[in-house]
Amino acid sequence: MSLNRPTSYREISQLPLILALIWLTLFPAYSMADDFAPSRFSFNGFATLGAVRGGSEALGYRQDIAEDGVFEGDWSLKTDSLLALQFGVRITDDFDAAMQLVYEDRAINGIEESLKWAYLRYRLSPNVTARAGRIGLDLYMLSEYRHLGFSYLWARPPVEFYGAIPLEYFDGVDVGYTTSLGVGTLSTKFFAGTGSSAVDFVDSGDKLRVDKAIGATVSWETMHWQLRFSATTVEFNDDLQETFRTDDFIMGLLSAATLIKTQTPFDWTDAEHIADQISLQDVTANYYAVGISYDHAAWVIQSEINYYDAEDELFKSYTGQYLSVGYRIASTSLYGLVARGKQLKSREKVPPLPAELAPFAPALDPLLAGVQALYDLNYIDQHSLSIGFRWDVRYDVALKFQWDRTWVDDAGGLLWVQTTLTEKETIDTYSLNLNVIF
Amino acid sequence: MIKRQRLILLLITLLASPLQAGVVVIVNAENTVNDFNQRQLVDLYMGRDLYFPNGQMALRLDQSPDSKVRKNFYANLVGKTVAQVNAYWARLLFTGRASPPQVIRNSKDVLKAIRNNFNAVGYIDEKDLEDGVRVIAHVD
Repeated sequence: MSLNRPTSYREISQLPLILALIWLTLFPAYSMADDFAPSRFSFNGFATLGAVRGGSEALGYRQDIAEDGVFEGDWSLKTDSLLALQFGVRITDDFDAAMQLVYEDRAINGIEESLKWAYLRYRLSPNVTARAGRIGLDLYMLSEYRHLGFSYLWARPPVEFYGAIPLEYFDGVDVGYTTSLGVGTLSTKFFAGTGSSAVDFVDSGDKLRVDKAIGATVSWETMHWQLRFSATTVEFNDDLQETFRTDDFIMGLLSAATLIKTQTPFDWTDAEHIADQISLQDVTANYYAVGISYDHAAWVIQSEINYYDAEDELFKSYTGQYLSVGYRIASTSLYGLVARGKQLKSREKVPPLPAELAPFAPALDPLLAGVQALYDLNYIDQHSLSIGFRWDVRYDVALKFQWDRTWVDDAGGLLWVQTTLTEKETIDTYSLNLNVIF
Repeated sequence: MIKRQRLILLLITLLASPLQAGVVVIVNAENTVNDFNQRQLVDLYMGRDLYFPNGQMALRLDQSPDSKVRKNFYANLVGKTVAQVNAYWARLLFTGRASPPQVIRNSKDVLKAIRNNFNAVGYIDEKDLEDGVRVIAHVD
């Protein structure tokens, strides 16, 4: 926990979570009923008690976009720790309802943000199910379980791939179809809805809203292999301008240009161009991801590639990849992970003020610096190497240690809390996690 | 050289053969379902297909996570430890795809549950077999 920052209410409010996690870790209980009659209600959960040390002076480590950062020299117990509770009720054999709450450190932390999913599900046939309500967004291999540390080797999902996707769930419907195909099982899913997510961007009250998300997923799973492909199209809400404070910049730029035009013989043509670039209206994007995993005997290998295709100048097209190779020795696994995230266009630079407008520099330079910061906050260019081990202490408890070395290019940080403009950096992160399921 | 290879083979065979009796998969004696093959068993116990071939939902039973029979069952069926199977099931459970088999305290209670439930399916050590249930597969 931070020593050089004052203790806030937010930090104190995390204490019950940490205590609950310690309690759960010390007394893991198997909640499956002894009774053989199929029970109507179910209650399960999972938790992570994680200690992390990382970040630099300028870049604060976090594993979720809604969180505060951990800066150089700090240890944090709250950043990686979480508690999830899941309730299910079987109404009939074909009709059930489920709800999952994930309690973790977040900028805004109410029931609305903690509720990861809550839906009604109807099984139309053994092969077809339909759900309605709040549903996990199916965008990648760890869809709906990116917080479930017990199910994967790493201390956290690879940041270069997973860190760029702030949305986890949507409110809408999905329909899934499962059938046997060759030696495996083929699953397809279509979904549509709207989404919203708390993000700590300019300040902790920020929200990211998606008016429309439509997508499909196809996956094929055998005993040892899993292959999947997903495609999604999203339409962002126009309040994105507010979230990223681009409204203020646009107004500043355009009024400065008007002022210059009326008061001087010159014309600041760049202003309109920049205003146009940072406008966040009618932003749409397409997202594609492919993943493959192999899990057999001693080896656990997994790789994913995503491609975020956007026309917008602020949210540029982006690709993330990772490859993870794990080797099991008795109840421990050793693993290595390489990951890379990069925007496909080079870093945007604000054009310098033309020489004839030099007298306005004192007023305009801060504005241009602000725009540059906006470009840089959205710019991504980093890669990392991780090595770690997982030890299955018991059938429901796993202990992990992971070391990451991350190379962040000039202004290229992804997911970090960026306090100032950042230059090229190499950052080490050390994580110790205890994962339990119950 | 050949002799040595044979010796190693023999050692491997000895080490690999379970010293206790095999694990058997059982259903209610009145359940007329055909014998299950490995694929069907994997689909059933790994949550890919929760139904008997006649379309009835199977009530899957598991043994205590500490038990030797559970360890052997999953080691022989899918080559995974109980912790690995749990990690797999956690994924299915917490993504809402399927619920893991219900855990029954011991083999005696598994037998009782299967005698009392037409659609129940479970596994026990072969040496614990009793009347009132029918074996549909051997896992060893």
